[in-house]
Amino acid sequence: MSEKLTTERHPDLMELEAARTGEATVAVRDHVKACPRCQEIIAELDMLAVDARVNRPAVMGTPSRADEAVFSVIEQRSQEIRWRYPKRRRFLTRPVWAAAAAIAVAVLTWSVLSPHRAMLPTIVKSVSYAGDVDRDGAVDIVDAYLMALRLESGIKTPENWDLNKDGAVDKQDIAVVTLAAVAVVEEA
Amino acid sequence: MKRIIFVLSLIAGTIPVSDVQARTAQESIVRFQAIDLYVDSGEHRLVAYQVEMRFDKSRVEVVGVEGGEVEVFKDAPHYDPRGLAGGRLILAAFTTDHKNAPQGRTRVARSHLRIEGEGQPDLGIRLITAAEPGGQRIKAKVDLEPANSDTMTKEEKGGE
Repeated sequence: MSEKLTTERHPDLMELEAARTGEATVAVRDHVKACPRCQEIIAELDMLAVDARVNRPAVMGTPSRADEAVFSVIEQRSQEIRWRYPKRRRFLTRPVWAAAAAIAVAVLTWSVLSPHRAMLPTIVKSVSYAGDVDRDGAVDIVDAYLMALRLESGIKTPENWDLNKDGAVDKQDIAVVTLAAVAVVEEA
Repeated sequence: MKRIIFVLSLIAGTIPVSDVQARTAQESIVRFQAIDLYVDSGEHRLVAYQVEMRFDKSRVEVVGVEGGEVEVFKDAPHYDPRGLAGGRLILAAFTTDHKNAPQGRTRVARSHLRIEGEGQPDLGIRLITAAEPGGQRIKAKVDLEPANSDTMTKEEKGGE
């Protein structure tokens, strides 16, 4: 990554994912340490990983807002291409342009929109905050330990710790956090 | 002429066969090794640890994970089974039994590896986090060591 990270330029989603899995560059790591916004996004990525583990298909698909954004830009771009090219040439180049535009727009839209919290379902966000018990920006084994400690103490636990939504905060919820902590993210 | 054809056919047939034989021999060298994971928490009591183990997935597969030497970490640590053959495995465990939480260098887990090919494979280990009672993060050292035969069970030694 050659561009210097500043408060204006946040890491993109791939860089934040790398930071989440401990594989980011020093520049990204330093930025994340000092940036609450990026820490929040990383916490949400953590919980996406949890969701993948506990099979919640509701959050696995492309959000409808992203779909709409991608299709609207494709449509706009297609109109521009239709206007710019004569009919015969357009006939030959349109499929190539459409495919290229679709890929470019999809990548661009994903990288621009996905870091924003609005893209992620509220439920994932609330679970991520709950799972990150000590609020250090990551869900790890210490969060599971702190949950277990609180459960053993008998002190009332926060309702949002019911991560598997079974109506009770118990060992199953600690297991969800533990799974998130040890989940192996596929590497490219 | 017949002799020349015979010699040529022998050469043509021999080269690939010897190549395949060499490759097969290399792949057939398979051994199993137990590796111990140590966490050194110094003067702090260790109640939770999370480490990342890296290995060459083309040569190494983790075929088993078990707990360590102290009672509180006797059970196998948590891990994602996808990592066993994936070259990257995260191991983590915690205990709320503060009184029996270990101090100093402690064997907290043992991994059993299936190794293909000759020579010792590269194994990497990195501490992700460790904590003392109450959940305060602590600095700890982690290292891997081939399992000492004194601490292995008969089954682990191969039923000797």
